[in-house]
Amino acid sequence: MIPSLLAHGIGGVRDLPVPGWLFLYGAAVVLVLSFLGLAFLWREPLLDRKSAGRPATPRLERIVLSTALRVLAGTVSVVLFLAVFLAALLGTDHAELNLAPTFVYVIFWLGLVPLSVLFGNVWSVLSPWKAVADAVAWIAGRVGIQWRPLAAYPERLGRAPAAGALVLFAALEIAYVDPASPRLLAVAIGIYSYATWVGMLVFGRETWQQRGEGFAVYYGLLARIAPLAVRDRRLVIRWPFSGLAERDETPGTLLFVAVMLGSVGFDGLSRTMRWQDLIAAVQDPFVISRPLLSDLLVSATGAAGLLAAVLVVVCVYKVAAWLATEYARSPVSLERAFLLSLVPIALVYAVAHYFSLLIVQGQFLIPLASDPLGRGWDLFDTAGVMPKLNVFAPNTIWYLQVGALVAGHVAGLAVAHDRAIATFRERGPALRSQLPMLALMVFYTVTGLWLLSQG
Amino acid sequence: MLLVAGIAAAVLLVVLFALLRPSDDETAAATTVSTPATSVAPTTAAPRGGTTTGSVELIAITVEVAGGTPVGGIRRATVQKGMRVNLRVTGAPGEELHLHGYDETLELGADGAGTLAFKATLQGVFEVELERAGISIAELTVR
Repeated sequence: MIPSLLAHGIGGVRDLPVPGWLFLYGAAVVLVLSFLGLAFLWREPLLDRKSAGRPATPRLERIVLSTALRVLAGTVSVVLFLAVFLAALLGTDHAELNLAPTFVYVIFWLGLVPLSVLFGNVWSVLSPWKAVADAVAWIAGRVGIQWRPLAAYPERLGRAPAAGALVLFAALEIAYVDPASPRLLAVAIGIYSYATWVGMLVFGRETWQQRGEGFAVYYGLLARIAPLAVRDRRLVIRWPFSGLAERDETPGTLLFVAVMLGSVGFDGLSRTMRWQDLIAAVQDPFVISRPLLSDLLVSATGAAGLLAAVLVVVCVYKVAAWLATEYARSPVSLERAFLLSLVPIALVYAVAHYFSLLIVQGQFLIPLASDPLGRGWDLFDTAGVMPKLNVFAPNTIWYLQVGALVAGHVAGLAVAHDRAIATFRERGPALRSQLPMLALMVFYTVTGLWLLSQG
Repeated sequence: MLLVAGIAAAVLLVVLFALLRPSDDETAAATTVSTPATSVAPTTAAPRGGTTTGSVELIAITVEVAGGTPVGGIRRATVQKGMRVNLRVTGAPGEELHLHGYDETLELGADGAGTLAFKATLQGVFEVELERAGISIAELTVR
């Protein structure tokens, strides 16, 4: 049995809680910046125009968009995917000695976040599922089989299937009692691969990639922050965050963003003393007599907490959007207009909670690469490399965490503000619509800070 | 109006920082949650206390397990970085003790008791687990 109270899949070192004074100070900074933002932010919509970007140099574009790079990235990704799947299936049961848990929960899940935010939608070329589907479609085309989607995607569902996929992954990672079990991961990878390929076969590769594949939607939304994007088959360079100002009224996006925020928020909550005591109380009565029942109760409690966290995010956002619509006397609901301003906050929640985990735990990839199955191999002569666990001093971690949350708050505020002045021609309604959004973001940021300050 | 509010808030911020920033005394007080008593008997520590021997910074933490769970709930202790820790567990026969992060393990044997000795070199929060049952019995904070 591997860590039950570990909460985030894998990893043994937890950051020290942010001290109380720094929490209060961070919250105060957030309030002040919010007021200053309202007073001094730009008066004309800005980000929307900037999101088109300017073309990158032809040489860079040729390299980035080349078929060769795409095939290379796809091949590497499929080989890695198979290695991880086989390690999960055949490797040691011991989670820390098996490549799969560290690769899935740290390298893939956390590592792709900075890559997407810095370099754009890298998952569209790195997804092994997409690469295999593309290769199959290409071969089918060569032998003369015309491949058409079997059904039209029900657009009213929008991104809801992707939100479902992501919440299942989050439940596996932070609610289930034994998330790092290699065999369980093998089963999960198998089921998710099957579902993804069936989805692509039925609704078409691109449609499923943008509506049903949870990770593609996740990294795709984060990639809107990136200064690089592909528009009409052209590589463009644009202002960071400007991609969030694009109009996007796809249904199910609120649910998806709520899963992004709610899952990290619940991960934070589940590390607090109160939640751990609750879990212990749920676990204790049956831990000896009926361990399976005990595990089931613990997982169910976690799943309930996760769903409640997602629900809170949805409800609080809906209330804020309703208030914004009322205050601004807008004839149409503003719910979808401001939604993507939550993406920067979701990003910094993840950064604040996971950056030290990514850097500390990510180092374990080096020894694991040489011995992926935990059988004493040393393929690359790195099996003996000892990761450095004390990379950061606690102070450094605290300031980075609080700084990230405050920066995300400012970015979210700026995006919402830009959307408001783009929606309303007059300044009055634009500002009035911003008051509830401001309150909402202060709520998220202060909650995020509070979670980090709890031991 | 907003400008005034902004400036007022900025002033408030400076005042808050001055008030909230911990002095050295407070930092010291906040970090010794589990104050080591100055006793010279490191072997038989009180169930929920700690002991140090004069010059060597040694802290003993004892966790009593009964019926598979820690008596009195998850034992929480805070130690300073650099201290040597003797983590004693009783009442868990056939179990394996696992200190996460440090990745130290100890077989507890038939009598269910054992002492895990280690030096607290790594800062953070670490779970102490009975590996076989998957029960968290203590949480060690190293500051």
